[in-house]
Amino acid sequence: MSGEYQQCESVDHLVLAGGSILLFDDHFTRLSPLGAYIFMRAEEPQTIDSLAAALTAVFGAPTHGSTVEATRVAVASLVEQGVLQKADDG
Amino acid sequence: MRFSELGSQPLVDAATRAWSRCLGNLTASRTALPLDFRSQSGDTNLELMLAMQALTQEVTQRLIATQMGRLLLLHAGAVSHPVTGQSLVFVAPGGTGKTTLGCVLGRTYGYLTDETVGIDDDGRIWPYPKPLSLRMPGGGPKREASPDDLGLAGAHRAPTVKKVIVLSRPPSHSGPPVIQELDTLDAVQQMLPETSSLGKLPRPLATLAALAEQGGPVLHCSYAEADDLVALAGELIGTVP
Repeated sequence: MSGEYQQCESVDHLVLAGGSILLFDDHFTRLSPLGAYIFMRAEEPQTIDSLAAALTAVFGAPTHGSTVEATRVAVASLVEQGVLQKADDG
Repeated sequence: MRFSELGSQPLVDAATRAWSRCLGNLTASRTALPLDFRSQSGDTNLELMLAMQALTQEVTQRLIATQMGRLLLLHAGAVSHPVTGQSLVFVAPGGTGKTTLGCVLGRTYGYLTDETVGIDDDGRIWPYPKPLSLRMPGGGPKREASPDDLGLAGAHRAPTVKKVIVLSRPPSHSGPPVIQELDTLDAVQQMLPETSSLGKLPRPLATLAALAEQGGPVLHCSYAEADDLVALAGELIGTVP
């Protein structure tokens, strides 16, 4: 995975203390606070490195492994859920 | 409605009886596309039941199409307290017992619907007292039964949402109902699959969250028998003297 990622277009977004729910035309998904933060940051295209730096600043470094790798895994999951897309796919 | 083999009158008669709670004294009329039902089996009673079932589905679909973007539409049943109008909305997917529960609670509380609950911004429920779609022993088409024939109480004039419960009826459940309070996010997540055209509302998720927070937390209820929920209904919307 390389390049930049940005939000997929959603119908609505509900943010509460325990996380958030995104509503799309054909599905919805619930995000953890970390996933919700990535989604919010990706309003503008973001690289994995830029997201990793932002996540470290807000949530701290992961207990195991590198921040960049953990971010890559999180972004891949969000892409699979239809929450994020490659910036040049939009 | 056109019922090709018998002529339309038997279907009109049956529909007029089954839909008695939804008929009004209209001062205006509106033309809709006709519904055609054609006999396949030659069994008149079976064909009439199939036509009645198809009519219910068609009317419900047209209702949803008309009200989307105006009302919050939930796949749910509802009953209202006859004096206060405070209402219990039970959200559930098909096959979870909404109709049976509507029959049981409707003996005491006003029957609002067994399938589609429409709620406006003020929390008012717009009743849809359609025929109750009863599963028949051995399967086959459902019987569309008039709430009048089932002895169900009439809807309050201005029912409002008092409490929302999300129902599940797992085959493994036995004994009394198990109740769990849902936080707002869990409640929205569990109600979302049971909404119709939610995205057409101006603020869909905020609307659903507001409903979830109205009257205290939404309850998740696992149960086995509808009769087991009568006492719970009394606790939630008040008993009827």
